Amino acid sequence: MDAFGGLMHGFSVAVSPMNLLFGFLGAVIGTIIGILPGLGPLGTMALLLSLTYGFDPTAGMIMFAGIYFGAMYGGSTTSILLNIPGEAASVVTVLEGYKMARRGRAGAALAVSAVGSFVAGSIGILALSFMAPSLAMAALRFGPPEYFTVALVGLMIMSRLTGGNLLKALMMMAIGLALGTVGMETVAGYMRYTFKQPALAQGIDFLPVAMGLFGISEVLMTAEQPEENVSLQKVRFWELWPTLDEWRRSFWPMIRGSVIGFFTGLIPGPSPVIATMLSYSTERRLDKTGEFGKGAIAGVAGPEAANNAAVGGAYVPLMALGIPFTPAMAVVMAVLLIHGISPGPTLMSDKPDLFWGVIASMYIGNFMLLVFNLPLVGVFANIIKTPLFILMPIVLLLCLVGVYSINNALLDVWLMIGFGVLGYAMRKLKYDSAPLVLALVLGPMMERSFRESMMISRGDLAVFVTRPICAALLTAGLLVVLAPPIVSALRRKRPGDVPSA
Amino acid sequence: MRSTDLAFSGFVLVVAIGYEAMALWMPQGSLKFPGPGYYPKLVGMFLIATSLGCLIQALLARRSVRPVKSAGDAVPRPMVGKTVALLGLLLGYGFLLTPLGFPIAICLFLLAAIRVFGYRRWTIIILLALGLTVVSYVTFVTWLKVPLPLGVVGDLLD
Repeated sequence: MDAFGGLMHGFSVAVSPMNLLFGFLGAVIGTIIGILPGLGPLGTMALLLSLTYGFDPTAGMIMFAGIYFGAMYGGSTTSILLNIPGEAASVVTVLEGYKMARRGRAGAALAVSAVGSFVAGSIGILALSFMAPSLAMAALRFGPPEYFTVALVGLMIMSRLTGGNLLKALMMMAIGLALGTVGMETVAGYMRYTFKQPALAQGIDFLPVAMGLFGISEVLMTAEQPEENVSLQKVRFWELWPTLDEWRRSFWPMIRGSVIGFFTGLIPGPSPVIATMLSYSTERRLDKTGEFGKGAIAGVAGPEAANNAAVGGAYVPLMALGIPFTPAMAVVMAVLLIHGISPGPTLMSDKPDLFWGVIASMYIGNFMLLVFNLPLVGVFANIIKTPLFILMPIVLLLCLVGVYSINNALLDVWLMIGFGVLGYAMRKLKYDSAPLVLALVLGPMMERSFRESMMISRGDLAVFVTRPICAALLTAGLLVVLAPPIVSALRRKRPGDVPSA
Repeated sequence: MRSTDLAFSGFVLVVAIGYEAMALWMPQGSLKFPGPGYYPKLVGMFLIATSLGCLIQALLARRSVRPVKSAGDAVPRPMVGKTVALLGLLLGYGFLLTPLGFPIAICLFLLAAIRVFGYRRWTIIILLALGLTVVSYVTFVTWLKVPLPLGVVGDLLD
């Protein structure tokens, strides 16, 4: 059975009223969970895992795809409306999405985010259908040196992510890396920077830091503004939707984001985070409108597409090799294992119904997300018109309860408050929070892969440049970071070379 | 702004030096077998270098820019009192969550937070705070099974 025939067969298996209902249910649950900070897609899927015992495997997979994609989209909703990234992958969406909301374009940002997620999900699933086996083999060639290089390139891109002061961005990144070293280290079980607090042994979670730096600091900043300065631009109902020009400006970022996201998703670890950063920096460099930093729609469309396409990419090693590269994929694999199905190289030939049914089910989950969320764009966009004396306490309530629910620990509440104060100070001093949060996510992967690489290579640092994938990644990273300043320096020099008439 | 920038970079530099000193106390291992302190040592060096860079940058900027006082500056002053009050409420919630329990702590927090944001009618404030408490309790404790501390409410329920 060829890929196209297989996909059509998959749809014939997956499309039934009951499966569509499960897909819709998954999208609803996922979106709600994504909107509530704290309980992410992983926790929700783990909670609902036991429910799937009684389901048909395809129905279970459809529901889980809906939850996963829905939670990704829900996380973006709070990023755009309230400046609270519910997921690490939504941090980049905050940069332009929230600024769009402040300009009265929340509806446009949400609609582009929903459509971008759908387009990217579709491209990712098609790529998964046609290229899964060959791509999975390529993904397997990644070892610790390659992971380290990926993280390093991620940090290189991050340093120029928002285009602000480079030294300040590097300092924030260093703080994020330092925070990533707190807790029990994985090789020898040594406690680092825990100050004899057992609660710190598992390290500092990303969410209290992100919710503090973005959410709490935003509320503190809003509180000190005189009320007339805070009022948002009034918008009419039809202005909630993106204009034709906004759709046009979002099209290519969505496509580029989808391609970047899918291929980045093949890499183990926090690939959606790296994908969103890559997409954002690409769009920023290609931008000719000068809107970046003020609420550029391309800065929402690209990263949102990349985020969703990375999920499709993450399915490749799971479906083709039976290896889950991310914790969420491990839960998806558990759904299959519960029903006695082992994903892997023979799944496509042994159980074509299931293989193609699962791929089609992802598509249905993604479509259900669009069906559920697009009509709600207006409702969500109106949330920010709620009077401040109601909206801000609700934001604080969500943060306080959400952050506790991560580990059921009071320490996370304290951490969030602490980082809220730090975020407030950083905003006053024009320091950017995004590099800190993203470095905190990438730091542990970077350390682990560095130490493993050194053990494998017996302390030879050349391993990071002699391995072909590492060399290619480093070259690409250096090009991304160094090319723009070099090009702009050359451009500045050129008019001086020619004597003016 | 320049002096606060200077103070912030200086503060980070002090923290960075402390971080590095603690990293150096940890087992270092070698490049062949890096120990638990090897990577933090590198991170600490990076943090010291960047915070020092920011400090120098702020110092240079302070020298080059002399503040000019303009008489007609009409930018409204931020209401820092509200921010301080909110921060106090957040700290208060943190301290009261375990002894009083989530329902009472969050209700008190909401009552005060709505008031801080400038709403004056107490009847509405009380109704809103109670309503939000009930909704959040049902959503998180009953539906999502988040084991939030129930404190004295838990004792009463028992």
